[in-house]
Amino acid sequence: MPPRQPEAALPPLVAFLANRTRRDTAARIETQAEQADREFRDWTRRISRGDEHAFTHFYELYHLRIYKYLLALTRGNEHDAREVLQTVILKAAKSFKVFPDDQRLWAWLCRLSRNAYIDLLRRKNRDSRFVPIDDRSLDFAAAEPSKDRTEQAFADAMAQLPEEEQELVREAYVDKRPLQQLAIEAGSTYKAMESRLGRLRLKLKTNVLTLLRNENRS
Amino acid sequence: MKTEADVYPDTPVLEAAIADETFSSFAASLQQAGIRAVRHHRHIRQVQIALAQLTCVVGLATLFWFTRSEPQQLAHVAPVIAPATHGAASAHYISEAQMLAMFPNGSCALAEVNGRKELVFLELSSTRRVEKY
Repeated sequence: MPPRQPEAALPPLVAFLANRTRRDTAARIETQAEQADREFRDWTRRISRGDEHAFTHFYELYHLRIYKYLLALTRGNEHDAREVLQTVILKAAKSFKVFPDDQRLWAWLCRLSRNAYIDLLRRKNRDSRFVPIDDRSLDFAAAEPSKDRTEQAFADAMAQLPEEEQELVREAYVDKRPLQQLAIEAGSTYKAMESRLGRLRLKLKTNVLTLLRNENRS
Repeated sequence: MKTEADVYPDTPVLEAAIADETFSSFAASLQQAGIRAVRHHRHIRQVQIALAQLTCVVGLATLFWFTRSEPQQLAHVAPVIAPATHGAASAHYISEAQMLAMFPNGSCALAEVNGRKELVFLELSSTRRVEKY
């Protein structure tokens, strides 16, 4: 039979164990974070040294994110957003640096995007035959677009859709349910479902771009 | 840590909406252009590194050559300097006839005293002995 522990000794023991567990957990989290940072740094170093696979991975991860940011920056101007995206990607490919984490990399990409957009506006102003009376475009470009403005505009655009259509696009793109299954449930053909989703995507895109444009005016 | 999908669960719908067919083809060609730029930049870097290495090698070789050739130059100069520094010593080796020719004719003569050659001046006022010539 084990000897009885004095009652007064229990709380310190519990506190000690709790502290130790907390310390271990904190150390484990810290180690994981350090490892993630190291991996991120290695990955960015490989890109900066010209590793094509690493660059492809970067492109897959970031090109849509940059495009969304640029849509907000250009106030829903798709053409400008694409032109600036091209400049940003090529600049990044030429002068990629080593970054310790995603935040620093994203901040750098945002800076590249803003500078490229300002350059584009300057070029447009230089090339245009007429001098605008109220040339505030450069100020707009220099201003940091509010975080996740495209997502906000998208949320508003989604809210404009009927409940049924919202559910449909979520099932198709968030839950990634097969189109065939969705078509059967809706009592239509695969082709009809595909066309319907295509129309919904277009409607959503138009609404998002319109909201971003109107945000500029307001 | 919250990801974008946690904050905005509808993000895939947004991406599907903005990335239509025209954007997909644009994105594919942009990706290829990016890869080409990365490749080009890598080649430039490799050339720069090679040039830097070559410059270093040439620099080191030049330095090595200079450090090696410097003592040879000194050795070459030394014989030129040597006669100048030893010019006084070379007066030792003038002949007896040359020495006598330095004085007025008949004013002095060479004589051997106790087995040593001495220069003897014939006039009393200017008579003196030169112990060594």
